[in-house]
Amino acid sequence: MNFSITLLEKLAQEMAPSTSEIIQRESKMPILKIDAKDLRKVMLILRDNPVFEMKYINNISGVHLTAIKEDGTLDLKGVEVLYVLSSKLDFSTIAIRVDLPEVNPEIDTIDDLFVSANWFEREIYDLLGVNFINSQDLRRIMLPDDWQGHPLRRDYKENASYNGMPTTRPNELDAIRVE
Amino acid sequence: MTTENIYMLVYGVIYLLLLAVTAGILTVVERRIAGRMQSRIGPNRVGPQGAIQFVADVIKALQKEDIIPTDAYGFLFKIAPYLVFMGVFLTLVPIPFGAYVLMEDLDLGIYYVLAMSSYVVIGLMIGGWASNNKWSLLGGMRSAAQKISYEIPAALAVFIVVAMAGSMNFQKIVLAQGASPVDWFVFRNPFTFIAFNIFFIAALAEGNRVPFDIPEAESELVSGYNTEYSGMRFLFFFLAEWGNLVVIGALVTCLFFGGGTFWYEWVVSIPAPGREPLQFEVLGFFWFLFKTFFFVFVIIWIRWTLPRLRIDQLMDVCWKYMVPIGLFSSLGIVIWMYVIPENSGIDRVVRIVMTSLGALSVVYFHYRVYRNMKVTKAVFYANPFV
Amino acid sequence: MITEKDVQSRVEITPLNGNEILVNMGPHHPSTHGVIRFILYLDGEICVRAVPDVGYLHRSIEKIAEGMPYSFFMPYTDRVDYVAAVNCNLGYALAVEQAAGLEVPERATWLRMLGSELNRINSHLIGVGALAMDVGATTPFVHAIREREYIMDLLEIQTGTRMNNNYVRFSGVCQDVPQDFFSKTEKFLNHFDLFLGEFDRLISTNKIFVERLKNVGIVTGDQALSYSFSGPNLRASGIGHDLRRLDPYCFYPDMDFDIPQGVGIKGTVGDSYDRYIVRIEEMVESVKIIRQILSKIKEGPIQSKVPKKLVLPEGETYHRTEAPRGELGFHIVSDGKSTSPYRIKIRTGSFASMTSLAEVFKGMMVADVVAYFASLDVVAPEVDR
Repeated sequence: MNFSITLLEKLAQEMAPSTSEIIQRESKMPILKIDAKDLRKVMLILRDNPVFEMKYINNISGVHLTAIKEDGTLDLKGVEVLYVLSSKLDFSTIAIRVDLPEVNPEIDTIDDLFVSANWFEREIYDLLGVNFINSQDLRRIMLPDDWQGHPLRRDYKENASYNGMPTTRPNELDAIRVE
Repeated sequence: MTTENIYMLVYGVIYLLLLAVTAGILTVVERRIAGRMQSRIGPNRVGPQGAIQFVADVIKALQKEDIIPTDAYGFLFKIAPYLVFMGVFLTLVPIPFGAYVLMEDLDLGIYYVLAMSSYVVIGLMIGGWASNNKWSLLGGMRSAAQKISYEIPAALAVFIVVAMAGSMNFQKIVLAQGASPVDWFVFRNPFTFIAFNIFFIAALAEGNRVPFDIPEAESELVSGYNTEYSGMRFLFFFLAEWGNLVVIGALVTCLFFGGGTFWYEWVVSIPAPGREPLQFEVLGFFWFLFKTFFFVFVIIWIRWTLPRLRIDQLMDVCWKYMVPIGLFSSLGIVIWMYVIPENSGIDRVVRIVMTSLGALSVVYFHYRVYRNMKVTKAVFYANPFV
Repeated sequence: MITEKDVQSRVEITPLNGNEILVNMGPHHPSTHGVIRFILYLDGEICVRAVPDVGYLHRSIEKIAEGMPYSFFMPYTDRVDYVAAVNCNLGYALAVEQAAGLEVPERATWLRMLGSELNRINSHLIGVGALAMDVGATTPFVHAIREREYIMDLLEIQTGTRMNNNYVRFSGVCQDVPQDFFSKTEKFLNHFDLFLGEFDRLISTNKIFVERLKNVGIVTGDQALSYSFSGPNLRASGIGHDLRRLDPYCFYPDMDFDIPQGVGIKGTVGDSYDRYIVRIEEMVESVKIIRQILSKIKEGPIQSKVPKKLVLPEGETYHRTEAPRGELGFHIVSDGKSTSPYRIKIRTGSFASMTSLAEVFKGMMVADVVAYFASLDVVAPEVDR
């Protein structure tokens, strides 16, 4: 019922010409990986098709994918957005993943299909810098509106000051530290 | 300045001081009662059982910085509390605390009281508007609408009493009643009972008390028209509100519960009608105070139990329920007085039936309390002074 | 910080018509819900448009998690919902145990469930009391706080602290309970049943209270699903999803309890009164569950062995538990090599409840705005993390 592979295979059949891939088959949460351009099609199928009837968003989260190269520096590989939805009937759950490129990550919004998606997407925009095209209201949500940068990214460096307030404090222990 | 005028000035000052001190003590009493209802103790540090807590509050408030918001309209902002306080204090003039203990025996008694309580409306609106704060403005507007709406049911209830008593003079209204519950206006006939309920509820609404305290609703408006006031100005609003409680209690006692009359004729033969020996006048005074403070206690009790009404529900209660019932009752009382003569058999029977119903409801109330305490296995703390 | 210019620039909005005023229900609320700000456009008494502004309590705990081992993150989950800390601890521990395949001894599971249900009663008392206080009655709130004192004494014996318990560890709990704990809990439960009856007689059937809450903020079942409501809010709208039944964890399948649903007792299904009654009934169910736990708990170890350097296998997992405010989900991403998580995302029920505000507030009066928001039982740290 929860996170079953049969649901994923049914979904892969329904979205027929578009390609998809099932990853993490043997773990507790198998995920269906799709392309960014198929997102709205898949979401419409999930929401309206009576087999699925997934009207409930459990979670939309973003992850900044990186790898460590041989010389120790960070290799930025883009942003992953994971959608977890549940069905109205028996709460069976499905997880869908979209990988976005590193430069200008953007994806279609689903906040006209699901009302709550707007806030989840705003959080991903705020903290990871993903642009949701045609969103009704894409503003920063956790951070002030004039903040610069997206903190959850791995390459985020904080500004030295924000509106005149310095972002670091001198460490009082430095004065008495014995080297 | 004749000696008349000096006497009146002295009376006025004495009444003012007494009202201020009473209102102050009432704030402490309310906090203690609220504490006991909420399983905690109220203020009990300052003075015996916390009785002079209000003095500490006043001293603290006097020491505070007098903050006036920058864009507030200075003069109006400053006089608003005084207008409200004046509106409350002036209503005390014709009310007899017992026989012949009053400032001025006005023939227009109750009419004057209703008129003076309208000063409060002006004060609240000015306070709300002059604070230059949208929330205060909202509170002031709501408060003004509520107060002027509820003056109408109050006036209808008063009309019923005036029709029964035949005069607007407070002394005559009191003398038209008697000392025992059978003679009180509240138990005379069903219409005056309805009038008592209407008047009590309307007076609660006039005084901005729960369940009608939307203008000062904490969780919505951060105290409404009070928000920008600090220090002594704020305490003036407070003083006015608690002084109003005493006024409501006194009015209800006078109009409906035979305030101040005592069972003189059972004890001693009266030399002249209306002129009792001094010791009975003093007893009457304390009896009046007892009844007044009983109603103040009931108002405090209601405040800490009930939630508050929304503004449109408040207006519905006034215009859709209380005004029609009041009009119907005033028609009813006139017909009743025409049809059924005073002191006839039917009149006596109705009075005794209503009094016994009242007594039965008091007994039933105590029974319900007893049953509740048994069911919840509550421990009864008989000592209010923990 | 969002200003009026920002709101008008990014959000398509009608400019202020003649009668409208812009009011700020600022971060400092007398209501006890934390620092959340609303910008309301009011036309007289009616709210024409509402813009919620959150983020005043953002502590970036998700970024902090990327720099510390898994077990160091446990105290941070307390602070996600400080009213129901054991539930949040439990959610995190279960998510990590599911991904790493760790075993939990039986007594530890019972103790976890006991702490969890006690905290559920705790949290619902605050929710219900704060709702009563926002509607105007102060006394029920203080009575609820008084009952919480008993529960917090019990929690202090069980977990060591009254608040921010930090109780659950991977594969177990942090400390065992003394011998007389169960008799004390039994005594408290007997007292609490009577208290709930008194509370009901005080306020649940009070006409003014019912009139304030009935037909206010009606959210139908389909709307609730699209707003991602979960927990009591969703059940009050008529959909009986409870994660303890649908996605069971611990020993909840063995427990016998009902799932209260909103049936529109005094108004329509899904109004604020239903959300209130569902919480009261859930407290009764929690008492039932605790009684069953007390009868079934056995002796045994309370902690199994966990590797010192815990590394989760590579991949991502999402685990949900039923917290008092809704679904608490942990999305944990691991890169298979390091002892600290790669990314933790916490999905809370209050965040989802906030998504409904912009739509539901339209056309409501200010007093109803306060009543509806209080009936959602939102706490600010869950929204902002």
